[in-house]
Amino acid sequence: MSPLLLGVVVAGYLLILAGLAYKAWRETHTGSDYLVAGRQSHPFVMAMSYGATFVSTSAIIGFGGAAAVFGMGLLWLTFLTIFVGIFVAFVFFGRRTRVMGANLNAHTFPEFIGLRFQSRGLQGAAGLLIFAAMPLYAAVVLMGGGKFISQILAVDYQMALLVLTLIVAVYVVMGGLKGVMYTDAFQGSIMFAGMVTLLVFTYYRLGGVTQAHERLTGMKELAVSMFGAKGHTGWTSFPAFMSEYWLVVVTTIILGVGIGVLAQPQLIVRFMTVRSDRELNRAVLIGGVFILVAVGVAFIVGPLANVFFYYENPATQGQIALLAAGKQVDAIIPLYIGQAMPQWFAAIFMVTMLSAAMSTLSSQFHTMGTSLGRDLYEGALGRKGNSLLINKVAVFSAIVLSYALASALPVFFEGGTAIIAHGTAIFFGICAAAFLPMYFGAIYFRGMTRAGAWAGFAAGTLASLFWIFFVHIKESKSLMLCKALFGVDSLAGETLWTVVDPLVVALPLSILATVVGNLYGAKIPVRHLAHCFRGIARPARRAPVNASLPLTGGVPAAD
Amino acid sequence: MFGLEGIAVPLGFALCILSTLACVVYGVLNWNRGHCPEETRSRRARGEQKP
Repeated sequence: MSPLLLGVVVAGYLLILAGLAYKAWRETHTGSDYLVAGRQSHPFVMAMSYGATFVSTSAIIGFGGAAAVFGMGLLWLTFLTIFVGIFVAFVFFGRRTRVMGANLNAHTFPEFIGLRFQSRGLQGAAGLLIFAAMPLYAAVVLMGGGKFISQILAVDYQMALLVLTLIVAVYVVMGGLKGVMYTDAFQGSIMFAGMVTLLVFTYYRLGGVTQAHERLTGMKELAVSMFGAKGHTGWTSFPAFMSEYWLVVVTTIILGVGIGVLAQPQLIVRFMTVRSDRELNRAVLIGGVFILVAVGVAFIVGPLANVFFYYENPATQGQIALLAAGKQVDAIIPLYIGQAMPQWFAAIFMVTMLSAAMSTLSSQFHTMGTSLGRDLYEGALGRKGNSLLINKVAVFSAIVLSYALASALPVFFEGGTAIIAHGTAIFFGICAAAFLPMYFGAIYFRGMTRAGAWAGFAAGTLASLFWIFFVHIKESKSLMLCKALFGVDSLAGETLWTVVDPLVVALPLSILATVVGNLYGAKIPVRHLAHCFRGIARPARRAPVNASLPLTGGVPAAD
Repeated sequence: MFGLEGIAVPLGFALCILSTLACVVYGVLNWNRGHCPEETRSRRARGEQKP
């Protein structure tokens, strides 16, 4: 790739980011601006920010590489991310969250939960869990971005990491959620264009949609001979039911991420950034199309890379993608870009990957910082002060912590972005188990008690952590606590339970605990419930315009 | 279907397209629904109640 071309593309990209960061900084005056973008976001900005935050480098490089191994069955995750992550999330969760969030004047997800159940302790506990678990997720995304830059530009990893952190830090600290969302929308647009180009070139190169798929189907015998013992049945068919590959694909990849998306604090807060239901309705259209492309393309191109490497590429003829990439799953997509795509596309893909990493990172930094500043310091501890300044300092602290982790991680782990997919799946699973039953109950069930919320939160968190540390072998083996205490890598021994994702066990337990816990404890006062649920019933299609969001009152603003 | 094998993968492929279409149709049908007019926002900002 021409250094001049790459330099021009990256410089142009950074200039636009700087302009957007400046615009956000000029428009950020209050705590509300900093925390929920003043509740005035445009639907395009909101939808693209939601999508770009959700889709990180792991979805493109990590999960795209996984699709090259497991096959197109991963398209079910694309379906779930569109249907659950966009349609269900926006229509059934987003609207109620927006209305209730405005009624309660909530600015973060933990604050939303704390105000709904009238519990500062719950707000603090949710904030603490986010602040404890998210640095790992942020650090691995940061690490993936740093490694990608260091490989492409041939610079030192630590230097790449520092520059990447500083760039994101400037616009998150200065511009708050406005800075995050403006840059996310721009970065999401780049990701969309980059992935569409990648898909079109891939199908063109392999002879068209149906022919490319048929050529991949023709490699079935090869897949079965290599991975058949684990349940592989070919790259264009689903793994054998209840085989090892089936359990990994269904429980970890499809359900873990596809359900986990509903309970992500950094995504939920976006529902509270728009001024009315109209913006959410419009965002459904934009978000659906964006996610189809941003997630779906990687899961199509990954498997099709096998056809390219096996038949089309002279240097790797007779090798499937995994072997061509030296058995490094995370190297498959970058290798494919380097060998199958035109030179100029490598520069575009570079900024596409930068965008994917930075858009996720900025939201992670913001969410961690607000969990520390808004939820723990101001909320649980009840400290007062300049809300804007407190949250800026907290966001800066979260960035320093994530940077330190990302800087140290390569010392302990090798394997590049494989850790990204790992960290992502762990965080999604913990959030789903800890937050989803409580969140669903908060917006749908007036009769839900504080005890029910606590029980679900505690059961989901503890069950997830137990499964991660002692059963799910991918984590328990690396963490080594199980080995130290019991002398084995997993308490499940050699059974298939070792590959069952924590979410599959922890979420049902959390739901059960929520239901049982709900039988105990005092009911939330009716007057407070009326305040929470005011205007939550969906207005009739032709209702008069003043039937929209009711006026808020009684709860002090952040600023 | 589309050169894919079995039922699950072609179904997943089709559901991706259909769910995106559902998002598009929902967005188009509700494009202007739920609008919060300027005067309501101004009243809310001032902390007043609806008339």
